[in-house]
Amino acid sequence: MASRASTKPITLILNAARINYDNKINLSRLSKLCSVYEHNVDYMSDANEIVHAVNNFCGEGKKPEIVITKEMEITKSVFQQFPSSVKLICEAGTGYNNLPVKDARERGVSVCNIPLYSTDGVAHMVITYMLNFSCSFVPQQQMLWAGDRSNFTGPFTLPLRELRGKTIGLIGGSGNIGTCVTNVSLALGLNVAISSRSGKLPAGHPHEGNPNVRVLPLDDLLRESDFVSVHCPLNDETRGIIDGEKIRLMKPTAFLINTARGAIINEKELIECMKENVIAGAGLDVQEVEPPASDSEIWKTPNVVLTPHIGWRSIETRQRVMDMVADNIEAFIEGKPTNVVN
Amino acid sequence: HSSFFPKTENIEVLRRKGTMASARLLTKRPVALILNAARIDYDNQINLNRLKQLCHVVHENKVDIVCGSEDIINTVHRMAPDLDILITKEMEVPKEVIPKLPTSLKLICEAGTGYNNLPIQSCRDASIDVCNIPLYSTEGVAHMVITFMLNFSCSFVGQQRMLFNNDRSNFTGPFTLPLRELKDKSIGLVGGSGNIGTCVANIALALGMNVIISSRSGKLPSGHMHEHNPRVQVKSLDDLLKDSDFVSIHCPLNDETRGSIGREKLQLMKPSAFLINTARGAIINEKELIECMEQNLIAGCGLDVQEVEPPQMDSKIWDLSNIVLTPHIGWRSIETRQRVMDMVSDNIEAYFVDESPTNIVN
Repeated sequence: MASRASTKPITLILNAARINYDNKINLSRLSKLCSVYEHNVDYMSDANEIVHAVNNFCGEGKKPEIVITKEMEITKSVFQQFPSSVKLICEAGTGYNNLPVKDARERGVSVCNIPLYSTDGVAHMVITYMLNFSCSFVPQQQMLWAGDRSNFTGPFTLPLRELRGKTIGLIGGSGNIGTCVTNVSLALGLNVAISSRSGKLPAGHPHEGNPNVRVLPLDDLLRESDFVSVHCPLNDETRGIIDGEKIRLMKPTAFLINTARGAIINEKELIECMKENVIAGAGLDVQEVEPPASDSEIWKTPNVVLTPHIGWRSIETRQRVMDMVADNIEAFIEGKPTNVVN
Repeated sequence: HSSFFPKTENIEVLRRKGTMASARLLTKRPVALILNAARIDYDNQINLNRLKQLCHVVHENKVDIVCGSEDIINTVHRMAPDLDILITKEMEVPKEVIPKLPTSLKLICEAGTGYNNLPIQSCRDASIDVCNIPLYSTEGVAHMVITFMLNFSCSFVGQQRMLFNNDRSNFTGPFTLPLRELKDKSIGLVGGSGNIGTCVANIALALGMNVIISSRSGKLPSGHMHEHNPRVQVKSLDDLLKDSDFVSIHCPLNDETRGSIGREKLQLMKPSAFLINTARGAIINEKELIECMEQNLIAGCGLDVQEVEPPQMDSKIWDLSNIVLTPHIGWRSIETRQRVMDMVSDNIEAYFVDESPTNIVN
């Protein structure tokens, strides 16, 4: 690995437009450390396109040592065609289910992530959905856009429920984002239920001992919660875990919120459940495929509200993630890598 | 009100008859009229049993509003010519109505907090007490403020409007609407040192924000829970307007505050800031607000209350994309509506049974 004294490592931001789509992100810190090449696409699904970009985008005879990417699927076979120059892959985000971490380790390539950069942004997205559901905010506005002012001229016909005393259930919610949601929910007067593989809160958790914060098995959490929010990572255990069977355990007045990874929910079965009014609503900042296929029923499924994975997308958060990528790279260059996930 | 005192012998009779459980009951229960019952119980889901036990008869005029002096006077005389209690919510009662109401009337209960709609001085002159419910919807209203704020920070309404119009470009391409974190932003609470303001402050602090409060006294009331919190500051109204990313109104409507937020004040705000009103519509000069929003003077405005509710059908307020309206729902959850009627019953019990009136505002 080139030290800072010698030439700066060639660094390719493989899908730079995912983060810097508005050209408002300051990359000067990164440019001081590396020779930065920005491949200005949001996403590539074509394997050949990815391989070509990694091998050729930086120019004649310039192969990248560091590849920065965000939420882009890199399959094992694509990774095998990466040049041997690559020593570090930086996920500019928290989830790394999209990267072939084992294969990378076998080839001596480190993969690092940014575990904490969007905690508040994602947590606040959960709260936004919850508050909107409690006062039927979206249907209200939809009525107005359709020219229907009857909620103003006559009685209010949509559900309106206080949050105090209600329960929000956080699936796998004992981590950073779940704890942030817990704090805000307690301030809103809710009780919190958390499901955890260990069956208890981690030692030292800020709400250990708080009677308003309970650990429950997943099924009990689903049965008792008025709002269910997904907070686990996507992996083989969690893929599709929230399926029709689990959704049917929920109260008919309850709402499901997902800001984690779309594929944790079995989307086909969710759509069926929503058509049958099994639960009162679903708020999805993430979907199985992003964006959903243009002919997917999810766009118009009753009581489903969609946002395009914006929990992390405020300008402050995007700047922070690039600054933290620079931190990881600096640590790696100095031989003391941080946030390595493999 | 001595005729309302329980008489011992009657209580024994009643106990033997098994019709009453409590010893402290009235021999002659008051008659109540809910003048615009549909404002609260528009869905027939509110339980009025407690009120009906306290009062001899509860007439419910199942309308949302009775407009104008003549209609109010006629309705009262027609439905409850012998009423002791008039219960109403957010209904304008002109002062000339008061001398024309039945002389039996002793107490007007506003089923809510604001009583700017009642002619409290004229009532005093006629020896009619007026009571309100100062604390019943604190959280509901505070949560409405937070809902507007979170929605503005991620352009939620703008996003959903695009989808409503089948515009999916935010999903298929770059996200083109503003998205800003709340952490370290400032929310300014105009007159926000009271109950609702404090509730908003608590949640805003949990969201990582700083809080600015304007107060006529220039400081927080002593004992205020955030008296020593460095993230909660008291500033003059003008400084609050200049420094805040979100401005939320928390003062009552009176002669001082009516129309106090107009172009002059709006011009002090940051162009990226948002204005939220869950208090009373007329605190804002709506005509000037509309002009300012047409000129994009500030980034957006969320109004759960409007100068007239509902706004005139031809008002521009409906159509501006940077004004988000809700129909005064801060208090309207079913739990809150039930609570307000239970607390009206509390006021009536205190007044007529305990002879220790509560929440009298005149």
